[in-house]
Order: sequence, then C-alpha cells, then structure tokens
Amino acid sequence: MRKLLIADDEEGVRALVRMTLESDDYEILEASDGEEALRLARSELPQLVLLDVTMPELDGFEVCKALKGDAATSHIAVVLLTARTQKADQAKAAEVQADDYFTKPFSPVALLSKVDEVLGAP
Amino acid sequence: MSDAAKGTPDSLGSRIRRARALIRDPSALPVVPLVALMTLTTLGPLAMLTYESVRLSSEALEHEIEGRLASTAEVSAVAVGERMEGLAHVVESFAGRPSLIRSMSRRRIDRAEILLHLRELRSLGGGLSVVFLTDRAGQVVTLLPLTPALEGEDFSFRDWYRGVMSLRSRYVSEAFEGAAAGRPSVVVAAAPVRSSAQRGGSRRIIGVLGGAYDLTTIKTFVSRFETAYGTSLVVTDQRGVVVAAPEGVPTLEKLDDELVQRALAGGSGAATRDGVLYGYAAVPSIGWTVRVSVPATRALSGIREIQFGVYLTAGVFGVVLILGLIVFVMALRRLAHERNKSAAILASMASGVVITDPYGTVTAVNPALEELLGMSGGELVGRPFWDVVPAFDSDGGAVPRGDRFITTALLSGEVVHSRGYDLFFERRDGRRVPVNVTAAPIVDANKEVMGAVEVIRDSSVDREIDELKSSLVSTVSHELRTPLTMIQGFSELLMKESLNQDQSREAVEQIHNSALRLSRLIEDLLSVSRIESGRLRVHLQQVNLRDAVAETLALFPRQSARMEVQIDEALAVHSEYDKVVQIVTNLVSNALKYSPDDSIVTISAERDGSSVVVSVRDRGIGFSEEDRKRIFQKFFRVDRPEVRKRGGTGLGLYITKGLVEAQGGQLWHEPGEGGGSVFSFALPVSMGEI
Repeated sequence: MRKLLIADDEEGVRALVRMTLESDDYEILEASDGEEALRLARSELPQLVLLDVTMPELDGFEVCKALKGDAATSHIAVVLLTARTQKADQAKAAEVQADDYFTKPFSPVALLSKVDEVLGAP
Repeated sequence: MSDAAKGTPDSLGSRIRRARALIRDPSALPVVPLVALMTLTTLGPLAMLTYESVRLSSEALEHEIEGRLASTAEVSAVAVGERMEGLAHVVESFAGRPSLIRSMSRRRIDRAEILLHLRELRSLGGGLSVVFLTDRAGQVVTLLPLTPALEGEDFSFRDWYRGVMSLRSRYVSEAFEGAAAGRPSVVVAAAPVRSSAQRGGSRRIIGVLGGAYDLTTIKTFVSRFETAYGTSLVVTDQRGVVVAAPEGVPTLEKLDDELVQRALAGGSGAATRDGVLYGYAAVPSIGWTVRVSVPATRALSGIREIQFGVYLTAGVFGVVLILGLIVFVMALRRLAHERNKSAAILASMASGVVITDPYGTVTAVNPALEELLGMSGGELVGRPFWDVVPAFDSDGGAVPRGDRFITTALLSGEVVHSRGYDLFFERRDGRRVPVNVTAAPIVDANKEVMGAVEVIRDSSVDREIDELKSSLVSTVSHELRTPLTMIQGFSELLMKESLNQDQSREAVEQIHNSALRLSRLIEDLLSVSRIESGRLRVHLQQVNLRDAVAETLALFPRQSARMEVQIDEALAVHSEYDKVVQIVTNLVSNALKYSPDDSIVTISAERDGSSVVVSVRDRGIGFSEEDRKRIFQKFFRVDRPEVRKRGGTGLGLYITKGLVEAQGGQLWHEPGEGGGSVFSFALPVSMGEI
C-alpha cells in the first residue's frame, strides 16, 4: 500500500485526486496548506507528494525545497501541480529539485499514469 | 486611480530661481549696469563733443574778432593821425609863408595881410572852424571869424601854445573848450611862425598860427570808419580826454580806461571785457588813442547759428541714441522674460529634463530631475550624462554608453523612447529607480545637432500597475484553471464509469459548483468592464432596505447566527433592487470571510438628511493605513494569509464601489471602534412610490 499526499488549498481538487487515485494500491492523505503538507509528509513519510504550487503560507516550491533538503524526506518523490505555464515556473521547479511537474487542468487518467511512472507500477 | 504620493511642492518661485540658475546662458548679461555703461559711453562723449565744439568755435571767433578789432583800431588810428597831421602840415605851411612872416615882422603888424592868409587857410576846408594868429607871447593878433573881443587876449595858457613853444614845431593840441562864440569843443593844430633867416642864427619864433578843429568834425570823420567796420570808435587826445565818441560817452571828459592808458603808452591790441570786445591803438605822432569796440553778442552773432545747429544735431542724435537704448533695454527685458518663461516651464514640469551638448555633457537640468536622482544641478551640470547617471536593465546589468538613449538621439538625430519597464537610473544614494525616457536631438536650422534633450519619468507607478496587471492575468488564469480542473477531471472520471454512486453524486456537485464559480468570475470581469466603460445601467426604484438585506442573509444560511441587523423596516432608498442586494452581499461576504468565525457582523442603516447610510461592521483585524488607501483599487488584495487563501480576484470592492457610484452614491471605509472595519455606503432616500 503506497501512501500518497495531496496538498492543495482547493477542496475540489483534493477530492478529484482522491477519487482518481484512491484504490487498494494507494492511500490518500490530504493537506490544505503547505505547513500541514510538510508536517504530514514528515510524520507519514508517503512515497509521493503532489504539491499545488499556489498555496497560502508555504507554497509548493518551498515545501518541495524543504522536503528535498531534509535527509529524512529527500527520498520522497515530489510532483508539483501548477496552473502557471511560464518558463519561470518550470525553471523554479527544477531549481527546487522537484521530480516532475504537472499542469492544471489535468486529465485524471494522465495523472494516474504519471504517478505509476514516478513510483513504478505497483 | 493611482495614488502616488506627490511629496511637498516647494514654492514655484524658488523652483524658478533654481531653474534659472541651472539654465546657464553664456550670453546672460546684467541689464542695468550694461545700460548705464552704454549711456555713459555714448551720450557722454556726445555731450562733450557738443560743448567743446561750441566753446572752441566761440573762442576762435572771439580771437578772430579781437584780432580784427585791433587792426581796425590801428587803421583808424592811422587815418586819424594822418588827418590831424595833415591839418597841422597845412597850418605849418601857411605859417612858413614869407608874406605872413613879413606882415608879422614889421613894426606895425599888417592885419589885413594876415587876414588874407587866414581866410585862405580857413577856406581850405578840412573843417577848420576858427583860424587865428598870436604873437610870441600868445596874445591874439587876429582871428577868423572876426571876434574883436578876443583880439589881444592872452592864450598862452593853452596847450597848443605850450606845445608849439616847447616843441618849437607844429603841434596838435589836446581837446578843450574854445573861447569862440558858442564855446565849441575843439582841437587846435598849430605851427610856429618863425622870422626870416638871419645871418648866423636860428630863426626866432615870432608868432603862432593855429586852426581850430571842431570835435564834431572829427566825429563825422570817425563815424565813417564806424560804419565801415561796424564798430564803435572812441578817439582820445594825448591826455585820454575823449575827442570823438559814440553817443553816451561824453566828450571833453577823461576816459578812465586801462586800454586807453595802454594806447597812450604806445601800445595796441585787443581785449574782451564785460561782454564787449575792444581793440585799441595809439595814433602815431600826435599821441592820441583810438579805441574800437563791439558787443560780444553782436560780434558772435554769426556763431549763434552754428551753435544752434550743433545743439540741434546733438539733441537729435541724443534722442535717437536714447530711443535706441530704450529699444535695446526692451529687447533685453524680453529676452530675460523669455528665459524666465522657459525656466518657469522647466521648473513646473513634473518629469525630469536634462539638456546636453553634442558630446553628451549636461548643460541644464530641471528641479524635477534633481528630485528624481537625489542630486543637485551643480553635481550634474558640466559632466557627461552617462557618467553621472548610470543606467541599468532589469537584470542589474549596466547599460553601456553607446546604448544609452541620449547617445542614440545624438548620433542618429532621431527621437527615441524607452519601452517597457526595463530601464533603471541610479540615484546618488545608490537606489535604482525605474524610468521611462524620451530622448530627442536638438537640431538647429542647418540640421546640425546642437545637443540633446531627454525627458525622464519615474515609472515606478506604471510598473506597479503593469505588475498588477500581470499578476491579474496570472491570478485570473489561475482562477479560471482551478474550476476548469475540477470540471474536466470529474467529468472524465464520470465518463470512465469508475465511480460508485456516492462518488458520482459528489463529482456532479463539484462540476456544478465549479461551473457556477466560473460564471461568477466571468460576471465580475464583465462588471468591471462595464463600470470602466460607463455602460452600467441602473433602473431606479424604491428599494426597501430591510427586504434587500433579508435577501442577502438568505445567501449565507450557515452564518446567520453571526449576523445582526439594525434597520428600520420603513427605510427605503432610490436605487435598483438587485444592485442593492449585490452591494450588501459583497460587503457582508467580505465581513464574514475576513473576521473570526465567532465574531458578529452588524448591518445597520440610518437616515442622514436626504440620504440613507448603510453600514456593515465586522470585528476582524481591519486594515493598515497604507492598505486603507488602496482597498478600492482594481485587483488590489491585502497581502494576508486569510486573504490569499480565499483566492479572490481583488475586484470585489472595486465593483461594489462602481455599483454604488453609478447610482450617485458613495462608498467608504472607516476603522471600527475597538478594531475591525466599517464599510458604509450612502444612497438617496426614497419617500414615496416612484
């Protein structure tokens, strides 16, 4: 059973991800802001964290940076969800060492295959 | 709606003074000293020239006239002398007549013979009035006109007798009053009568022959000269007693005159005294004097015209000069006024202006630029612009001299503008300020580049607006994508039919909510567009406030416990119902969102003259003074976590304000007592049915 953390300030997006990914293979954890995401990631140590970049307080970039910078959590795969397609954001994603990024709106099917890809098929 | 703080304007006067000082005009001249100098250097010499020419010509003429008078005196003196001498000669020749001598020598004097001679002498003319013969002792032998009373009288006291006897030759006497009838004033020409030559001896004087010359005759003679020379003439005898003179000078009186004294001493010459020019001379051989004179005014009358001409010319010249100077001063004034105007224009511009020479060296700046750069004009003028004001792009890289806008303007002769927000100038204090510049070459009539002028505007505010717009675009794009994500995602899941019934229902709900959300966003954007283009239409009606507010409350069912309404049920406003609901809803929604979940939101309304003021009060944390100024601006969102969390567009208050103002009302914010905010709007009160 793989643990997946979805962090997004929109409740609907979290519900979408849960509906898409929840199954026997994946346990879905939810966080509604960056701080909560960081806390949960550290305590639950999921295999993958999906981070929305536009969260209040701590945004996705900062959470990613923190996770990757911490030896305890640097192994966790991080995928950034962004509604922004500017080159600056892509560069920033690379800078904080995200494993991948995904643009919104997204197809749930594509998300599923992306997750499988990053983690390896269950 | 930008709110850039303008700072304290210093007085226009001091800014003009500074601008004038900075606009250095190398041809600037101080007006008053210059005009004074010009007046002195032109009118001064002119006056001197006039005065000197008049003076010198007067002097020359005087000198000339004096010379003329001296020679007139001399000529007249010679004439008088010759006349009198001639007369004396005649008498002398008669005195030498042998028959006359014989008639004197006999024991009995032959009176008849003598009278013959006398008659002849008298008839010779020349103006002799009395002719007479005396013996050795001076006693009258006989005379013509016959005057028996005088015969035998002793006249040895007379000057003519003494003169003849002492000189033993002919003699012209002094003037005196004669003894003849009428006692005329006369001068006597006398000569000794000598006995015939005797063996071995000189001839003895045996008598004196004389002829009296009436002074009036002399006067007549003299007056010819007066007329000829245009002068007055005074003749004196050898004592200085007046023999002939113009009226007003008495004859037979001694003339007390130094000039006469000089002439008596044998001198001659000319002099000016008391406005009269004199010439004087001694009469040769008889010791008399002649003095001629002419009043200076008459003598110099010829010069009067010259003087008049000179003064007139000088006067005209002077007037022309003064007029010229006046025109010059007016032109200078005009120039100064123009400079003042230019200085005033530059000083009042809000944009910075720099003017350079063709090599980029700063020649002038205006006060606005000094403020922008934090430098005084003195630090800028005289230095190359690119050295004294470094420029950078938005990456912090320095802009080389060749790429500067002013360089391009100078080299290409074209006007260039900076575009975008990529240019920064470094201030004196090191701070870099974003600017927009327009550089233009200054070209003279021959199309030669004489320099360049660059207008520099602080673009901080524009950049902010631009950034706000960019962030709006990204905000809107984000706002659009989020509901779209959910619509797309959930509908895809539904299509896959991989959801159970509960999940399906939730999915459909999410899709619906997202659609509504998108719809609201689009409505908001449309409202903004309508407000800005003035196309907002309001249908006025009587709107009961209680009812409108009640409708608002119905939109927030779960929060009804937090809301408190204090509105008189009869209170109504002149407005559009839906708009009032929308306004109140916006305000209440904000109040609920941005205050603690357990705090109360109060909605109240009260009459204020011809308006009704509706207030929505929350007990949140309110706004800072800075934010207060900007909350009604488009896209403005307070930078606080709970605000960012809500993901709004920053358009709510802007739209609400637009709605209120479209109905002729006002919307404003005040801090609430004890914290929080009060948003109030005023609309016209409505009394009866419309």
